Amino acid sequence: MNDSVRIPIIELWGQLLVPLQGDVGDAQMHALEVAVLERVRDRGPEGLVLDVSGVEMMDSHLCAVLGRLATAARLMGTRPVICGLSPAIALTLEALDVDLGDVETALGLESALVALGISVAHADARRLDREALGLSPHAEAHETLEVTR
Amino acid sequence: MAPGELLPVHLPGLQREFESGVRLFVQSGHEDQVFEQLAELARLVKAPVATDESVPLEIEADIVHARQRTRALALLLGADEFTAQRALTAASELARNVILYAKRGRLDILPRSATRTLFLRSVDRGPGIADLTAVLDGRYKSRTGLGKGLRGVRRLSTHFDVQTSAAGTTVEAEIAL
Repeated sequence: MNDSVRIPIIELWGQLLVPLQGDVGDAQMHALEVAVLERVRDRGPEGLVLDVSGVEMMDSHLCAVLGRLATAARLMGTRPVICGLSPAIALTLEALDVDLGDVETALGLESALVALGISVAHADARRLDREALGLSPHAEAHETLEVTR
Repeated sequence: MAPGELLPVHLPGLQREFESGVRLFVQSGHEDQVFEQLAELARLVKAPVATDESVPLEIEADIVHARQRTRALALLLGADEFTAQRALTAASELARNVILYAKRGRLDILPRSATRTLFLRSVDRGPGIADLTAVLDGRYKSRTGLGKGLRGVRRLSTHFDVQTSAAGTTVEAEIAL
C-alpha cells in the first residue's frame, strides 16, 4: 500500500524468492531492485523467483523495471522466473502491448520452483511406497516432506 | 454474487427484494412498521455517489494516490476486476508521465454513471511532447520505461485525445467499465 511496507527477500533451497505485494510504488520498486541484486551477488542463488500474485497493479513502468531486474539477475548468473500474473493484470499488459521480454514466466510459485528444479516428494506417495514394502505407513517426521534439488 | 461484490449501487435493488420478503413472511398488520424502519435504514445508509475528483501530482507517491482514487471510483461505478485494472493502469501511466516529464500537474478522475465510463484527464504545464506521432506510433523508447505508456493508454481507451504544446500537455482518456 505504501513505500514503508517492506517486501521480503526470502532464501529457500538455494533460491531467492521475492513476493511482491500490494500497490508497489516506484521508489519501493527501485529500492527492491537494488536490494535483490545485492542479495544475488552475496548469496549466489541458483534461481530468482519474482512472485507477483499479490500485486494490485502493473503498468508499463513496473513491467519494465521487473523485466530489467530479471535481465540483470540473469547477467549476474542466476536464473530468473516471474510467476503469479493475475488474469486481470495479464490481460491489461496484453492490451498495453507490453511484455516481460524473454523472461521465463510460470503460473504460480509452485510451477516456478518446479521450473528451477525443485521437486517435492509428497508424504502420500511415500506412505504408499512404505505400504508396498510392508513397512509401517507412518514415516518418520523428517521423512514426510522431502525436498530434492 | 461473490463476496466483496456487493456495492452501494446495489442497495436500492436489495431494499426492493427485502420488501417483497417482508410482504411474504411478516405477520400481517406488522408490515407498515417494518417498512417504516426499512425506509429509515435506507436513509441512514446513503449510498455514496461517485463524484468528480482531482488528484494533485507533485511527488512520486501521488501516482499511488491517483491509482487508489481511480480504483475506488471505478468500483463505485460497478467495474469488475478486469475493467478496474484497465482504468487503474491508464491512470498510473498518465500520472507517471506528468511526474516524470512535467514535474507537477493533476489528474482529473470524472466518473460518468450514465455511460459507465471513467473519464481521465491529466493536465500539466510541462515542456510538452516533442514528437507525439513517434510516441503514439511506438517508435519512441524512453530511458525509464518501455516508452509505451501513452500508447498503452490509447489502447486501453474508448476515447483518447492529446493536446500538447510548449505551454503544457492535456491528455484525455475514457475507459469503459
